[in-house]
Amino acid sequence: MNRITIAVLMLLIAGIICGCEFYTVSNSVIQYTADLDTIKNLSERGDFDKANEMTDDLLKNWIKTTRRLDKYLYHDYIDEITLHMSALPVCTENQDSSAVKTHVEEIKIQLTSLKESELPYLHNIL
Amino acid sequence: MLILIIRTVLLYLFVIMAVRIMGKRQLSEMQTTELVITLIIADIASIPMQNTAQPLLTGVIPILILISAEIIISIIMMKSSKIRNLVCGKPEVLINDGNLCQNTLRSLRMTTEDLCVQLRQLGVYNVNDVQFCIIEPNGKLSVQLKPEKRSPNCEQLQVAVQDTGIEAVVISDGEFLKNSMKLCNVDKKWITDILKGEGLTKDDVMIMTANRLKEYSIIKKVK
Repeated sequence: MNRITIAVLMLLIAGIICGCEFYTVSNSVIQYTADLDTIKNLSERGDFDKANEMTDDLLKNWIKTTRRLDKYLYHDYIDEITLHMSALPVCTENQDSSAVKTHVEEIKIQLTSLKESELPYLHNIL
Repeated sequence: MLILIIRTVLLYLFVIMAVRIMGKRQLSEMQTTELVITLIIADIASIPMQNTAQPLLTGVIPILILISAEIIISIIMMKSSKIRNLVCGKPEVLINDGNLCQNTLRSLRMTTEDLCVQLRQLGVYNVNDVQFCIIEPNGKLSVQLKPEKRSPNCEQLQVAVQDTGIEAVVISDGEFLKNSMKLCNVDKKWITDILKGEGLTKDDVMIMTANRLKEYSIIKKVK
């Protein structure tokens, strides 16, 4: 195959991988942020049964998502979020709404930073 | 550990493929930019190889981009001499018609000692013997000696020399080398006949060379 075709093909592959990464990260962040907000609202309203059910589901889904995210992102970043997320079911079981709120906020910040760090802003490039 | 082994094998194959795609030019006549790219590729590949917490793709993507950039730049350089001069630099004359160009030496931050070292490596021990000396973009010197210092060639001496073509290795360690056989216009049958005449088989031969005039030499294997 012509070398220029190979070069263009490689750039395309790199572009597709970057696109897939951004799509996966961005979608996951939006979805999990919405779920976390719901959990926070439920615990603030005192509906801990529903909140507990949701945190269990959230954790299960997150474990599945990590398998996809680990292909693109540093595993340490993902593990840190997993650690905070695994603390949520205990907080909802203990009906500790302030702890839920703290963990939710921490996870949201980490998720946002995960997404933001992938955007080609000058501060990220530098 | 198993992950390290798998990653190392994958990256090894990937880097080999990368260097092959960059082409033979990359290996033989390495320009400064090409040397830098080769070093960067080696460095990038080694990081995800050692650190399993880092996705393999963080090593693969930069290498893909570097190879593509290198291929595209080399193609652009082939088409445009301006870009070629910008990226690789251009040859500079250090000795012009027997005169040392001191300003050029100074601008290249090259001392006369550096020049003499490089000349000696080319077999020239006296700067006064040099008519022209050019430093090429890859840093190597090209030298033309003064006419009275050049060795006369067969044409100048009016000596007729037979064209033997290339002396190629046709058997290496008991194996026929097809490409070399093509180069010196011989075939397996001719070689086998020669070996029969010498009372040998191909497995007895360490090296056999031949040329277009069907002249050959054989070095037997030591058993």
